[in-house]
Amino acid sequence: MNILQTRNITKQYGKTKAVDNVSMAIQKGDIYGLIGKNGAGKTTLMRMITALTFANNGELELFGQTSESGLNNARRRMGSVVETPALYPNLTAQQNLEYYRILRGIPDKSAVNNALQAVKLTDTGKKKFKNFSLGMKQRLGLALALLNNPDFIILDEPINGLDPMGIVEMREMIKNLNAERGITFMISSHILSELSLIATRYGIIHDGRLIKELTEEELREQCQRCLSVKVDDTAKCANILETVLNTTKFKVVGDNEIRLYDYFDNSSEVTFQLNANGVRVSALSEIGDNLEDYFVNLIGGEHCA
Amino acid sequence: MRNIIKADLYRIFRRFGVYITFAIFIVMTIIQVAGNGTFGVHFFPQPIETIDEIAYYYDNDGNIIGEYNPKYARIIQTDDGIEFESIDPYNPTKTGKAAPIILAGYTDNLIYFLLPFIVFIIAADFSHGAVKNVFASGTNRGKYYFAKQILVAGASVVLILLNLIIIIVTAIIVNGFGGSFDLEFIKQLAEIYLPQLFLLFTFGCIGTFLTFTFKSTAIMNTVYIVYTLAPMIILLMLSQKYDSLYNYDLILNMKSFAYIGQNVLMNPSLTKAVFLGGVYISACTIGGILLFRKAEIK
Repeated sequence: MNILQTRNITKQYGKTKAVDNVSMAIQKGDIYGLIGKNGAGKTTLMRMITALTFANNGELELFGQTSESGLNNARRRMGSVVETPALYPNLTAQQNLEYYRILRGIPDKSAVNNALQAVKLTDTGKKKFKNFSLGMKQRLGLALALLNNPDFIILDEPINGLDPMGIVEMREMIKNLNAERGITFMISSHILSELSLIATRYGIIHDGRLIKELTEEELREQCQRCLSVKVDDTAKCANILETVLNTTKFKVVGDNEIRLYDYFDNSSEVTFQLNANGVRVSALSEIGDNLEDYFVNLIGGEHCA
Repeated sequence: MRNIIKADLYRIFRRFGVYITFAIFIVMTIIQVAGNGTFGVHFFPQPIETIDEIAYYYDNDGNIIGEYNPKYARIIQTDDGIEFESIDPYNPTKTGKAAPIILAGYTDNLIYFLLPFIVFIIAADFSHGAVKNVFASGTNRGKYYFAKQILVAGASVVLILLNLIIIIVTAIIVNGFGGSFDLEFIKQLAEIYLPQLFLLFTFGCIGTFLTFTFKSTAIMNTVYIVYTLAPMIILLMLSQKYDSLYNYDLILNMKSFAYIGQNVLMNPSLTKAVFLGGVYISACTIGGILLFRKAEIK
């Protein structure tokens, strides 16, 4: 079941397309990692989903709803922290959540304490939001997102500015909420190594366009370990791999490189056979992409995210 | 909509600023009562040349036909037409019953006290970005706008009631009540203050519109103050030539209701003021909602 689906959604500011014809789907139970450079369109996309801005073209579907009132009803099943957690600076954590509890018409008064407990913020007492550390603010933002017991949470850069302990805590919280409560997440982050530890699906957005969507398995496949063999003749090398070394687990990359997904434990045999059959090996090394490398390669290596 | 109002009341009364504003308002109102004679501060006669307060009187068509100083005289309607009745400045007549009638022409300061309440009610949501959480959780923008407008209207009612209560209580403490608290008195107050409340609410709608349009406390405050002052200044500059321009200024219309209390319906066109307020309210509300419906929330 799709929690969120966009169809050719476009947002334009003047002549600039911040989001350009994006069609994507998030399924129930996903932790969807949205990846992109600064200004790629991640936040604009999230802002459209959360009704902070509106698309010029295209259709947004949330929990099967597409009409304006239907989308508003669907958003009641959602929690979000877009950009930075924005709450009232002169209110305490408890008061801020109580305000939103009343506003959202949540009858259960214990919802406030439950949300605070879930993010371990029950002991802040009379400390006002303006005096919170960034990590506490992020956690209170997550508590607010959890207040109405949502089915879907959108988090924009949730680990921005957190210390290493805070990052681990946030990661664990997201994983637990996904596993225990079945909450679907859409998360954007610049810290791709972190995102790769929790996301189950990925969407890569570049210059407003969604250039790739892939699952965790697909990414693992794309980023798997291999032997990079630099040779003078890739065609001849491919032939030897197939006929002499009996493997088809390889891929030709460029004019003089072959990536071999086999023989990790016996790379000397590869070198020996290639040399013996007249292929000159200039380099052989074990490599493995991570999400960062994959992303950089995909968008053309202009910048790291 | 009810939830938005309830939540805002919860939030607003947890702000220290709201209590400070009320305290300043109470002190200012007491000073206003004192400054206008109840405490005898201005009971020394001034030469007519130094008169700095001018009130206008009108013919039945609403045209200005003269001016006078309300500190020293009031106009009464007789069978022969309009006559002036002198007010003896040595005679402290400003009792609890008389004070709200005499001070009815000074309610225009309420429009500036409404400003911090507009900030507490609406602008605070935008300046802290907290409004994002409201719409992200599916709140309808139109309902949100109306809820805020109702809260601002509520603040107008509170301000005008508080103003009345403070004036009456202060004057009673100093000069006694001076009559009976009867239905006639309540009717007289209602005649003066209900139209003023309506025009004060009109200012609330203007402030609401400005806040939703600019989404910035600083810009809203500036535009609101300029908006309330500029027409008056321009009108004063042009008044010699274009008397009829007075008809379009909300503050002057508010002030005009003060003369109902002096048994002279100086401004014959209550309908005109109500119509004027209605036009402002409709224009601001419809325009505000239309602009805000698809506005970007930062």
